[in-house]
Amino acid sequence: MSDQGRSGSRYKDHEVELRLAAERLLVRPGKSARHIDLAITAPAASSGDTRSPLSLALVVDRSGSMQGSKLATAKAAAMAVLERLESEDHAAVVVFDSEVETILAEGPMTKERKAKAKRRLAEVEARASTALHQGWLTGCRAIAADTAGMVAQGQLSRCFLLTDGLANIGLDDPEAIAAQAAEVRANTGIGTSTFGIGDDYDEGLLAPMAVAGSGQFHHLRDETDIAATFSGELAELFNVTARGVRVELEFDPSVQPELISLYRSAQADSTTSMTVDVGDLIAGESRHLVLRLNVLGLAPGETAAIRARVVWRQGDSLMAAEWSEIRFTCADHTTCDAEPRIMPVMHWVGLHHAERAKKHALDLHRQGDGKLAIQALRAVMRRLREYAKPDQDLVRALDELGKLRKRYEEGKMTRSEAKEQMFNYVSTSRMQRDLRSFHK
Amino acid sequence: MNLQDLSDRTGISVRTIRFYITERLLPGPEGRGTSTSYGDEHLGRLLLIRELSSQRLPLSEIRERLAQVSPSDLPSMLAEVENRSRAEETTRSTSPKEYLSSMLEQALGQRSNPELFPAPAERLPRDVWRRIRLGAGIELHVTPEAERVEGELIERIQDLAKDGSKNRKRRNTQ
Repeated sequence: MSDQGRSGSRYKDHEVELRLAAERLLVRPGKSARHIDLAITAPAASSGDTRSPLSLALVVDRSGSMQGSKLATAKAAAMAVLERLESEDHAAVVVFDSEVETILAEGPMTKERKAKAKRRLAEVEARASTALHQGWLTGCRAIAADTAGMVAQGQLSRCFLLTDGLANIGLDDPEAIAAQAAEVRANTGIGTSTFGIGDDYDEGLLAPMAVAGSGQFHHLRDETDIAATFSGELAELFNVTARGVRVELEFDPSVQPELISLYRSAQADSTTSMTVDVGDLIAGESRHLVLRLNVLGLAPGETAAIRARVVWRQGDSLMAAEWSEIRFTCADHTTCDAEPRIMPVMHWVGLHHAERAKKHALDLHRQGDGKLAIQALRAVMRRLREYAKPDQDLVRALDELGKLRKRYEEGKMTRSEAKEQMFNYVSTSRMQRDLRSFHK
Repeated sequence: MNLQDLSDRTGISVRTIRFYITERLLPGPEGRGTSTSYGDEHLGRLLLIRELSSQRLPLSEIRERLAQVSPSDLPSMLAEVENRSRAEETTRSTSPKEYLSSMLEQALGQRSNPELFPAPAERLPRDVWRRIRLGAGIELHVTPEAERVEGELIERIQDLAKDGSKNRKRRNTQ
């Protein structure tokens, strides 16, 4: 890859690496849109490293629709997860229908408590409705530290929420619940991963909840996917080398960024800074964040900059890498036209725009506006064609968009396909692995 | 105070304060050249901008709101900002468990408020099934939503089952 437009923090062992790259470094007078790619790589685990102890809440839906093999498999998968924890790890198990019950209080996963968990899980039977919000909060509370300030130092904490239905008791507004998942993550350090089974759960709730909670969203086609995804995510948690990774951005007032990739961002000082929560990264894992920057009001010769650094937790310490900067220079239209795009950057730009367009089309389809969904896909396909050709991944993405557009045109998008689309969007944009075929 | 003092007291960068002045959210400094200084009004307005920015209001709206604030209103507005900061400080000093307990209490409070969250039966949960006996060893299972959407079909099936049952009895008595 060319080094043009790239800036990176100095890489050291045990440091999270951040590299910035811009599609182009020249901007037009007046207004220009330019993309940047932020590549974040977690440190590899060294042989002497011991894994962080884990604090895990398993929250399992036992509403009526879970009756039969779904609940039986969920119970077996929950038990398999608990069996793999060690006595340094803590866990709690919560089940919910219209009522919420903590069947295993938070505590170390000793042999005795594993046996108790097994007995209590065996007694769980399918019952009534789905108090999802209360069940999830109860699970998070069970593993929350009871000392102020423990957020910073605490263990790696995660809540697994497994459901096959719609939240129909208590709070059920997806946006409000997702906002709470972000608050819980920020104020207690507990992340949320969601596991939706079958065709009846609400992916419009579970996907944003996991994104906001810095966890993973899993679409399980049926109960046979439960065990693999539970074990897969647990294995990844065991392998986390950088916790609570976030990217801090500062930019000149003439630079207005928009996050294209699927991460939660916050702009405390809404005009010149932004923070993006990336979540927990496993050893050697890379993630890409794509931002579109509107660069406004520059005259030829003037410059505008954006800088970024990565901040994370490692053990009990808060770590921060050095700042990296990209500076854009304003030039006349002819000079700008002559500047080539940096294709490795356009690779991520194209992929993340394609996934975002699929999600947008899906939202429009869910709202009953199929025509607008088709138009949204057409628009992004038109832009992607301008630069996709030499990149086989982008050509494939374009092909998939075309097939999807056809499905919408034929009016054949099923609920199951819609869920698969949402899962693809979340996993591609966040580089999350499909764990449905995970083997220990 | 100078620009750096203002930045230190508000936690807002010098560059951002300059930007607010350019954007007319904040008046320019008093005096000229090396004798420029910033007063309590600058400080008060900056704290308000910070508070309003944290609520993610667009700049145009922040500008509009600030235009309605006179220097005499600033102390009361500032007191409100400080109260809110203290409340945030209290939140930070609570433990994660206390924090979640209060969220949960709030959720339970909302759940018991029938206006906010009607009883499940009225909200047609999709996973509660009603069993309708059609005959000996025959049952029809329906969700409340299906009853609402396919009520007529369900009645026809029940009528059909009754007719079938009557015909059978008639045949048996003949």
